[in-house]
Formats: sequence, C-alpha cells, structure tokens
Amino acid sequence: MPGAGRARPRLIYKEALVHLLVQSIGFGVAAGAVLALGAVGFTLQFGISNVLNISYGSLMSVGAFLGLFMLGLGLNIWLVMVIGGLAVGACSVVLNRGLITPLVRKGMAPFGLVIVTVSAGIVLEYVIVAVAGPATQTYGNRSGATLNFLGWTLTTAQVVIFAITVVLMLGLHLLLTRTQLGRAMRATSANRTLARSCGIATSRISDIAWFMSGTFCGMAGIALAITIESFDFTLGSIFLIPMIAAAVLGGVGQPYGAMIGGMVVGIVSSVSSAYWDPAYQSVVAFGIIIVMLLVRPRGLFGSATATRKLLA
Amino acid sequence: MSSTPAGGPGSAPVAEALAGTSKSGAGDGPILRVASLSRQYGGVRAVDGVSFELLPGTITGIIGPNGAGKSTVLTVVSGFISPSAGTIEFLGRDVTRLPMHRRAQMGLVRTFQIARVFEGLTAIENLMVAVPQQRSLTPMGLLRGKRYWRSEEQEILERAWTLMNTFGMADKANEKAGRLSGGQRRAVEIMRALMMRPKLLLVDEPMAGLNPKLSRELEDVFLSLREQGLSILIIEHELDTVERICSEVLVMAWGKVIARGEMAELRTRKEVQDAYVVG
Amino acid sequence: MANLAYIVVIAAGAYTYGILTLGPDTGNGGFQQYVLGYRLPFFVAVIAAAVAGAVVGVLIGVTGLKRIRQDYQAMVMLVISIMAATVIGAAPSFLGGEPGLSLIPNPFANLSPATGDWAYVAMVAFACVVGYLVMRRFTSGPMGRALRAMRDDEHAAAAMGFSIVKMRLLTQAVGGAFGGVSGALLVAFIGGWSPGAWAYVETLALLTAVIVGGMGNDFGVSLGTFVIAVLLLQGVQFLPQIRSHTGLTEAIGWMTLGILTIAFLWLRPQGVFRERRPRYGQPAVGNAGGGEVAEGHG
Repeated sequence: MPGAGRARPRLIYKEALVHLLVQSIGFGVAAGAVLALGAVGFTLQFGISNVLNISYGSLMSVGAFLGLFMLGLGLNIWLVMVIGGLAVGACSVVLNRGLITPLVRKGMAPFGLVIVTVSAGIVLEYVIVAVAGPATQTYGNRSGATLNFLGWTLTTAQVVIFAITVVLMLGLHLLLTRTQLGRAMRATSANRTLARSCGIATSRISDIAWFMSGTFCGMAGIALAITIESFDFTLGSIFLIPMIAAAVLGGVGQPYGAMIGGMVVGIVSSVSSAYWDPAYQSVVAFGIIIVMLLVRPRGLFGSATATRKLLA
Repeated sequence: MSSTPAGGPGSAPVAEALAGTSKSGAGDGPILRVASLSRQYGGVRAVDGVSFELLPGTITGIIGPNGAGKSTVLTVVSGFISPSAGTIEFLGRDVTRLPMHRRAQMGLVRTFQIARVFEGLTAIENLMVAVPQQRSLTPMGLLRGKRYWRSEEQEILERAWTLMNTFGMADKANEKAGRLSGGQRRAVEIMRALMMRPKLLLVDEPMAGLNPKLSRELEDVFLSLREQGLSILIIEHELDTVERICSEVLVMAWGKVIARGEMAELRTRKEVQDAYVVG
Repeated sequence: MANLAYIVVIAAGAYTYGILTLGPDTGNGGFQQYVLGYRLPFFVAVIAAAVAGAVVGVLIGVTGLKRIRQDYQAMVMLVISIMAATVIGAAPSFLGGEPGLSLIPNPFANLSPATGDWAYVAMVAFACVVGYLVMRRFTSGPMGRALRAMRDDEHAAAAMGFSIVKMRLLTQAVGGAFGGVSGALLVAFIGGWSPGAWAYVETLALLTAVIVGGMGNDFGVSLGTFVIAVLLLQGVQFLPQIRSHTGLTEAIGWMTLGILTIAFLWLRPQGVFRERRPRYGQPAVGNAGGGEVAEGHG
C-alpha cells in the first residue's frame, strides 16, 4: 500500500494506520520467532566451529520436506516438528563429520569452505528436487483458531510456534549458563585453542553445536512451512537472508544477539511491508546486512572477541 | 646471505641495489619525528605518549619486555593502524593521516614480525613486484603494452638479481616463495624492502628464528645499508645484536619509553633491569 | 578472491543491452514495461553493457573494502546476488519485473536463421579472442605479478606501496566490463532475460569452471568453462527423459556441478592446470655490473 492516506483526510486514517501498526507488529513478533529460531542455530554453529555454513538454508528446506513426508504418514504436526528437527540435526552432524571437519583439517581457507557449503547446499536442494520434484508444496491449513490478544489477531499455530521458540531459547540459555557442557561450548567459542589446551574435547563440542544448530534449523524450516501457505525447495535459501540479517545484527556467533536480532528483523520487515510494497520486504533485511557490515561488523551485541574473529 | 662482510666488497652490490636512495632526504634534520604517540586497544593503552626522533644514516633499536608496545609503535609508524593521539613526521612532512601505501611510496618501508612473502610468486618475482610505481602498472602501460615498459622491467630484473646474489639466494630465485624455509623467507622479505629503495626501514625482530651465523650476516647487511645512508628502526630481543649495530636504543615498558641511550650504558641502569625483571 | 555476486554483473550487462535495443515499451503491443527503451545499434549497446557491468562491479567491490574475514565477505556477496534478483523481480516497471524482458532483437535478424546462428558463433569467437588478449594484459607480465601478490597477501602488498583500494576496484571494473559484455552477447542470442535466468546458483557454475580449470591459469579457466557449459548444463538434456520426474535432469546437472566443485576443492584445489610462474634468468655477466662478482667475493 504505497502512499496510503497521503491525499486523503488524515484524521480518519490515523486510527487505521495505528491499527495497522499494532497488527503488523503482531505479525512481526510471530515471524520473528521463526527467524530467531533459525538465526540462533546458524550463529551457534558459526560461533563454535568458526565455519559459515551457507547450506543452512538448504537444510531448512530438507526439514520442511521431511515434515511434508511425515504429515503424509498422518503424524501430529508438533510431533513432526520435533522428529524433523532431530533428523536435520543428524544431517548437520553428518555434513560436519563427512565434509567440513576433514577439509578444515586439510587447512582449507575460510573462503574455500564457503564455496564448499554453497555447493553442498545446492546439492541438497537438488536432492530434494530429484526426490520430491520441483513443484510447490503445502502443509494445508494448519493455522488453527484465530486468537485476539492485545489488539493482535494471531493464529493458534503462530502462538504455539512463539511459545516453542521461547521455551527453546530459555532451554538454550540454561544450557549455556548452568551446565558444564554450556561452559565448554562458550569456552570453545571464545578461544578454541585455549579451550582444547584446557582439556575440552573441542571436536565433540563442535559436533554437538552442529547437531543443535541442525535441530533448530529443521524445526525452523517446519515452523516456516506451517506459517506460510506454500513453499518449494528454495524455501530455506530465500529465508537465509533475513536469518543472516538477524545473526549479523546481533553479532555473528552471539546466540543472544541472534534472538534479539531475529525479533527486530521480524518486526521491522513486517511493519515496513505494511506501509510499503510487501515485495520489498527482504530489502529491509538486506539493508540491515549491508549497513551493519559497513558500520559495525561485529553486530550490536558483539564483544571484542567477535571483532577479533571477524576482522581479517 | 653468505657473502656480505660489513663495508667489504659485498656492500657494493647493496649500494647499487639502493641506488637512488638519497642520503639527505630532509636536509640534516631528523628523518622521522614521532611526538606523543598513543594507541589504545579497547581500554588498554598499548602505546602511551611515545616521542623520539631518528637521524638519517642511523640504526635505532627498540627493546623492552613482551607487551611493552614495541610492535605497536612500529605498526603505527608504518601506517598499518592509526594512532589514537600524537603525530608522525617523515622527511619533514606530517604523515599521521597518510595510508600505509602512501608512506611506503615515500620510502617508509616495513617488514613483518613473521615474514610475509607472496607465496604464489617465485622468490625473484617477490622482489620484482616491490616497485609499486613501475610504468607497467600505469594505465599507459596497460594500453601500450610491453614496448612501453620493457627497459624498465629489465632494470628491475637486474636489481633483483643483484640482491639475490648478494644474499646468496641465486639458486632459489625461481622457486615459489611458499616453498622457502623461514630464513629464506626472511631474506626475501628484506630484499623486497630494499627493492623499494627505502629511506627508513622498520624491521620487527628480523633475527628471530635465524641461526647465529645467519643473524651475524644480517647484522652486517644492516651495517652496510647504514653506510649507504639508510636509517633503520629495529625491534630486537637479542641485546648483544642491539649493542653491536644500534647507535641509540629506546627502552619501552608499559607503553612508555622509560630510558634511552647507548646499549652499553643502558645495561647498567636500574630502571631498565627492573623493567625486564618485572615484565 | 572470487566474486560470488558475479552473476549480477552479467545480469547488468544483459539488462542494459535489452533496454537499449528493445525500443520504447509501448512497442510490441506494450505488454512489457521497462525504463529507457532506445533502439541503439548493436555495438553501442554492447559497449554500454560493458560500462554498466564495470559500474556494478565496482559498486559490489566497495562492500568488500572493509577489512573483514573473507568468508564473511563471501556471504555478503551471495546475499547481494540473491537480493539483486529479488529487487529487480519485484519492480515490474523498471526492468520487466519477474517476467523479465523478452523479444530483445537479434543483431542478425535480417539474416536467415542458419546464417544468423553462424554469424553469432563467429561474433562470440571474435569476442573471446579480443577478451583473451585484453585479459592477458592483466594476468601476465608485471600487472599479473602485482595482482597475484595482492591476492596472496594484501597487507604485505600495501606495505610495499600498492593501493589496495585502487587495485581492487580496478579488477572489479575490468571483471565487471567482461561480465557486462558476456551478458549482452547472451541476451542478443536468447532474446529474453528475467530474474530466473540469473539465480545465485548460476554463479556456482562459473565458479566450478574456474576451480576445475585451475584458478591461476587462463587456459585452464577457458577450458573449464567450455567443459562445464557444454557437457554439464547442456549435456544433461540428452539423458533419457524420465517423464514422471519433471526437472530431474536439471537436478542431476546441478548436483553434479556441486559435487564436482567439492571434489576438486578437496582433491585437487589447484585445478586441472596449475598456475605457472615465469622463470627469470640471470642477466649476462658485466651487464648487471656486479651480480657475478659479488658471488666471487663470498
């Protein structure tokens, strides 16, 4: 709705515009939940293994298509989300063990690894095409009853996904701060060599990070497939841009940053698409990436460690 | 580096390789003047109000315990990072805001603490590339092709070979630099710096990792370069080396210059000993 | 470093050529919308495409000027390339939006189809030869040496007085001009261009060609491109069609491409043809005025 209300009486439309704002923030929060889920997985794995995994988007598509398959078997949608997540987590570990770790050991430069993950992502995408075909798919209408809350109109599915995200984020927070494993993960993320010399099995920590990342990825893929009407094999690679934006905004490698980044990107794109042409929604995400890159590459919440990691 | 006794016959080729280096870049004044230079990393002051001057044709050493800020001084002077405060004058001109490559073109050339060579190029190509304002790299050179730059290229090649022979590396000239040993890389890096006809050379621990024989030869190279009018600012841990080649020494600790003078005299000073013990 | 947004440069050339030769958008029944709409002669449009490619190349290059990890930059390039296609697709009145441009006139339209195709082949061959000669200016001799030095270690190159910004933008501009011309030649032949034609996966095809051929070897890259373009992307069409699976042959092509890239990076990162460096002999004794003499004194 470009230029809405410009030439019209302002007072009447002001109320409508405020309502639009409130409503779009609601949508933004719902979209942000999925984004945060995906972005946290992306950033967690990067923070710990120090490899940018571009095939993350394709893994997300794999999750969505696995979900489609399981729905066909008649499983409950939320059960599908859990199983699909764990399955993608397993794929992610295989990717790390079979491809990334051997190449890192061979001393491949980070740039080479990006090309490898891009290639792996394309292979995965076309495996989906070979198995399920290139056609557009849908989970059918899974949104459930409509709920009204704080002036927001949301579907049950959106609320459940939001709740799942909150629970997972809380769980991740407790894991990182309260357990021995979490401390080991944070240590590995801050300084891998030092962590190893302190007796932390960094390669196992890496595997765990890839598994968690893949699980988040798969769940986000299925959540995304639930909330949008239809999708095809490019689902994840398109969604990768706002996810990268969320991760970059919060500081790549910072799980808490990605949570907040996901929310911010979700709300900002939703609000902007309410007032501007929705086709340009991802332009906002793109703008965030470029501005952050040029102005503050370490992200809003990035530490000095993050800076050291990102500067050449 | 097997053939360069100081001031002996070996210095002639070095002189030739350096031909064009003027002894009096800025008259009789200092070649480099650094005034109240500071550099902060986060909240830490790595360099805190350092001032010094270098005269043409001198070798000045910087010593001090680890973390004293020696390398930071060198890095800031070279232009690789910018200072938080203070000024740097080179050849009488304020270069504080000048990017690294412009300072290098003026004759302020650095080497790196860990020798950095262009691994995909051969040793001699590493030298030949180190003439940034060659005609072949200008738009004119690209347009008109070989005829325009052939004679200059030939001259660059000859200078590179002269250095290669001086440093005893002739047999490695066409070897990829990535396959060279640590000492050979160091040699390539220093030759590469000399190809640029520097007026001031900044070297960061050039002797590290060299065997005693090689480092003595490198000392001789530095001394013969000084004879040609080149100034050198050197960071070095080995105090005997410093005593042999440096006319003046700055002692740094906690980001500050805590003492300066001749090495022999500095060894006896209490604050210098304290800095080393504490650091 | 390879530019992962290179396909955007090619697209820029293709669109530029399109809007400069299509004529006003009210023509052809006015079913498509786009800006400009001139009917310029072929060569003018190709030159404009080269300029457009160079400009876009430099603009993309600017984002790479920050001192940031290479993989991080690569990610940004990919994002740029996906975004450019999205934005163009979303703006129907600028460059035809998602459906793109079509009915771009063939420069040899007044020849018979068969003659026209051969004329096109001849023109592309001519462009390749010219391109190869121009490229040699940059990849051989002192310029190639300097560029390779910068590739190996930018900081050390800057410490030797090279302006990294200038050299990077120069390479982006030259690379961009090449991409622009290739885009223009491509649409002159296929006659249409839309965002679907330049998805980011197409960049992988270019990259595979370079990696397989050998990154530092001009001949290797040319051969790699030929092999990838002819054997893989076109060759899969000759596989027996499996009717029940639409898109399967295309999928096989892309999967092979991805696997080939990974396999080469893993097993033979230098490519089929490795980078060769020139050997330099010693100048004759006496000529250098001391090279040999110094050795004698040692």
